[in-house]
Amino acid sequence: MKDVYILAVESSCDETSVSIIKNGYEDVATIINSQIDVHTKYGGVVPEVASRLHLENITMVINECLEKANMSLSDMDAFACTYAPGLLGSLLVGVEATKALSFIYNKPLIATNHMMGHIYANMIGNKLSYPLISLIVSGGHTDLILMESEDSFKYLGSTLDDAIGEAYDKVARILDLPYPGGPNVEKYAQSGKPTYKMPQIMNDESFNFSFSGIKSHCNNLVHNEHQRGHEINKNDLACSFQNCVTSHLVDKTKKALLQYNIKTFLLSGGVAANSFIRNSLKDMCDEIGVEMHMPEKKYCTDNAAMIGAAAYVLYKHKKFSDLSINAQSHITLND
Amino acid sequence: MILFIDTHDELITVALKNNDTLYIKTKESEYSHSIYTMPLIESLFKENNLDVKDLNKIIVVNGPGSFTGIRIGLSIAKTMAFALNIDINTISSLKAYLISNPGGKRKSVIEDNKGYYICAMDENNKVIVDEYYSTIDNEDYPVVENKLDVDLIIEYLKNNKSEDPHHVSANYVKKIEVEHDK
Repeated sequence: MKDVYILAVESSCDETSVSIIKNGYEDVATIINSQIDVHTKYGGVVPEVASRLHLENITMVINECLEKANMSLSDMDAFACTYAPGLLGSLLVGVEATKALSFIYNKPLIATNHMMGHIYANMIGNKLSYPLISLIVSGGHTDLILMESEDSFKYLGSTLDDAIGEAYDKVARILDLPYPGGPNVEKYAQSGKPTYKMPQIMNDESFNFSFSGIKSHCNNLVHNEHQRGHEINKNDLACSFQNCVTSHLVDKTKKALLQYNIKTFLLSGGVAANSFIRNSLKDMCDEIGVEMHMPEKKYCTDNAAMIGAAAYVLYKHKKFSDLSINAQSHITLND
Repeated sequence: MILFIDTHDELITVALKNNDTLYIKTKESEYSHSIYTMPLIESLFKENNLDVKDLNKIIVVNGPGSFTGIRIGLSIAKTMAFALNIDINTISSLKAYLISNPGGKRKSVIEDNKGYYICAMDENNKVIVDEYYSTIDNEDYPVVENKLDVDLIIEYLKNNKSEDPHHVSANYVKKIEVEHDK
């Protein structure tokens, strides 16, 4: 079969990224232009600022990717973009640029769901077998999904309130750690001990998650200690928090794998770059004899390679979009 | 062949000028510029049997106006100019209105929910009041209609050197809140 090259564009949040992916699993070239330095100034992502930077960078990032791959736009078999979910203004820059390329080269336009991209980050340089259970952990999502095949998504459970990445960011704020909060909490936790008592999180029969309670608990704890004139040990609190939310993830995932008798597990999403979470889930999978896949860390945070990998699945099923496709801020994998 | 794109307000305008013929399409849209703009451009080419490979220039309105609207037109325009390796020129929405309505000293005004974007030109199309944003409109010139004449705009820009598509950016005029704080 002829090789398929897809040029993919990701611009859903604060990374302008372009990749060229061969046959859905080979990363020919990936460029990620992160705006993190700019947003650090504001303590978080400012949507209007993000959109402005995407517009300024988009063609340069496309060009850089083509140069790195030593390929030209006319070599592409399809053009893919993230169209949902994410920040509308940011998504639109990538969506419109990709439409223009699809129109000029008369090649399919593949509008790709960002969350599907996170899942298929596991396909880069890897082969998957189905059925499997996928756990997406990111700043906006905490979802347990059963996949009977490569394009079927059954939601087993989701967060009822905050996403896990959101909880990390909020606890970072409570501890006065700089943006990006999540990775800083992880860093502090590394040299801490789980000395602070944490609440038992939603130990019920469902596969749903909840992270707002523990965030409030951390907030109250810090306030109370301050009022008593005690210093908070940031390392220990970060460690206590991380242990608690990780065991919540591990428990629910383990229960789902056992109940559905699934032998393959995928971890994905930006928070999948967290080593403690990776290792804890891996230990659980080893214990119950489940094969675990997780993307290399560089494919966990937002990148266009995963969009290209997911777009290849859509390409095979001829799920193309026309030029009237709009960006959407909220969407599930089944919309 | 020249492609013109304006998405800065609720009236999307796209046009193709091929030799002496001007093909133009417009569409009213409040929040759906993404749905209409690229299909309108596609239909300009298809319905008139024209080939995108014959384009040699793009003119795009880069604001002021709706931030999201502007970015939709600009994302398309700069990507097309980059991919086709052709010329690109930007023009401000205020100047585009002034050029489209020649005459003596005159101003163009774009109103948003908090104030006015204003610009003025004289009879020779020389800018006499540079673009600015204000909560009040104090300029004492007759105001032009917010209507575009694509032929006049093409004529006005004909001697302008192409911009680098990578550096084509929006002309927001107005600062956003976080910028005021910093």
